[in-house]
Amino acid sequence: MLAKSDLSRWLAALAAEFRVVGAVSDGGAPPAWRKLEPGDTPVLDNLRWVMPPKEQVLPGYEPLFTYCARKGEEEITSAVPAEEPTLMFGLRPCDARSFAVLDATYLDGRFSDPYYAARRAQMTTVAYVCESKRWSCFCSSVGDPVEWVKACDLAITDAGEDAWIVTAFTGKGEKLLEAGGCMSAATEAACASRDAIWEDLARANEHFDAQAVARAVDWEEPVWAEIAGRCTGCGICSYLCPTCTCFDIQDEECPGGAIERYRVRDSCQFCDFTKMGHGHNPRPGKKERTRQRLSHKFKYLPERSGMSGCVGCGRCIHLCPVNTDTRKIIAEVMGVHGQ
Amino acid sequence: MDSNPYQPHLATLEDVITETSDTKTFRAAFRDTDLRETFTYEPGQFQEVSVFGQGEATFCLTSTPTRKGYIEFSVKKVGQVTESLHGMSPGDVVGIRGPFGNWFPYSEWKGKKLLFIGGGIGMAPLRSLLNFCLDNRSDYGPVDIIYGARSPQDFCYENEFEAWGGAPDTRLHLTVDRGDDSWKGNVGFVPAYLNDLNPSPEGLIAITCGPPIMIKFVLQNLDKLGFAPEQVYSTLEMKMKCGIGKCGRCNIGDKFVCIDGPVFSYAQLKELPPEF
Repeated sequence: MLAKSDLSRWLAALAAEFRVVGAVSDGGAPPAWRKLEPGDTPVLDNLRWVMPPKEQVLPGYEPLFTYCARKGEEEITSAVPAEEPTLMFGLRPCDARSFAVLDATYLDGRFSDPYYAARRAQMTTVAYVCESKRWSCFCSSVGDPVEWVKACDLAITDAGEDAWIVTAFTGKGEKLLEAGGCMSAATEAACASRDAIWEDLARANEHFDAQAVARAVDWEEPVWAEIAGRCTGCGICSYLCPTCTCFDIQDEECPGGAIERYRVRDSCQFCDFTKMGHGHNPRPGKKERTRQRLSHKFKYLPERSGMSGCVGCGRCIHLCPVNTDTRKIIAEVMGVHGQ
Repeated sequence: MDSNPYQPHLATLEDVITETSDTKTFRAAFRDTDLRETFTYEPGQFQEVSVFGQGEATFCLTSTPTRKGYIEFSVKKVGQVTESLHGMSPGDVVGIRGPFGNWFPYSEWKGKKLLFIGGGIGMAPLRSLLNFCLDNRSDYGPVDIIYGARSPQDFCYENEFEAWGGAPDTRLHLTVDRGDDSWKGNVGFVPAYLNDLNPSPEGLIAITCGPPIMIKFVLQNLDKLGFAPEQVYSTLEMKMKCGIGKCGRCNIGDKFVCIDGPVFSYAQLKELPPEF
């Protein structure tokens, strides 16, 4: 158990060993993930916040290498980041799960992504278990958020006004408990409170079986045209989605003549995303692009890797300007073709 | 392959061949002399070519791995990178990363008759396989090549026609959409010419690539001629950036053209959603 008043002492001890990354509300702005500096208090409240942690493993802008173009001295200098012990502090269950989803693509054995791999290699994960959900949350519809929490090294659960109960799942997690000598023995009441929160988390939503959804999602689904009819193509769903990481690759000439090759976040919701040089575009309309995004989450990824590409964080629902609700789409798909 | 699949190898252009009014073939050799000998690939695979400062574009390897020391790719001028490439000359430096994707399952085709059906720049990936098979001529049965272009001026690889037509038990059948006064060959679209030639599907593998509309009717006609979908192969083109299944562009259903393709049998194509 950790007394809430001991949080900064514990974080200081962890910072001696790790680059500790948490969500911080700078000047009252919505919490955003960044490195915690001494004195920073990471947001550890109940609510899943706006920005997902994907930026910490796949920055929206990332140099891949620089190229020296001087005649006779042409040379490429890699920009793969150095591995660094990093501790992600306070991941919601959905966001913790998002790393597993990204791993399936970026650590694929055939072509591991060295930039992503370097950031994930020495990452330790500390979850914060939500004691209740936002109206848009639906993690337990697409999986078991308690299992996602248990896949982390450590989990923090609220145990009343004064303390958190901190649970380790790995050897790495056990070591974190020792840092700074901040922990005290968990009381029975705290353990009971934790178990109640976990149970509630697991059962709060109507459950969709990922494989059944994958089987039900159909190419000719009428719902694609329905969504496309009101979608503005703004791309906020993919911008905020913790598992949407499609990117473009571009070159830029830097001052001094070096050329930087970088990748930059892109979205399958944008009209030129798949447009080829000679003009043909296999996904020319919003219907095709909507179908692509949702089928990728709920059909293609489950078929490829066995896991849902959606972690049920609900950001796409919460912030969609035209109120498209992913839950209703799945329900409709299941209603039409399911079981 | 390097551990960083995003990082190209530097290569020097050795030769630039003007094929048609809008298409050139580039021969490039890696600067690293060891890599020049060790770099290998399979017919049907592709690469990402960098024009540093302009970006990268996807091209199939049109050369054959049986001929070492260089690689070749053919480029139709359609956009920023291709236009930059067309402005380049021997001695200029490009970046090459790859090879990526799957390849034609030629080892399963030993002893079989081969029918190549190409249209326009679509001959580029077929050329790799064709020259590979001609370099291993005794492994395969009779080879027929149907190659069509819009006009007699629109053929690529004309300097190889003699070698192709003159190889043992190999025939080259050329056709154009529109002839001119000097054209003595067939006039007509590739799918119709295929019907005229009326190949027997017995023990034959057909490999086709060309404009989507040509592929569509070639597949239909092969079907009518009695070819089973497992006897017919094609290679697909989709917008790509990474080439390694990450950037999210080139999937058709749950298959990524860059890692699960670009080569598919007609039987496999029929299983894909009708996106292409």
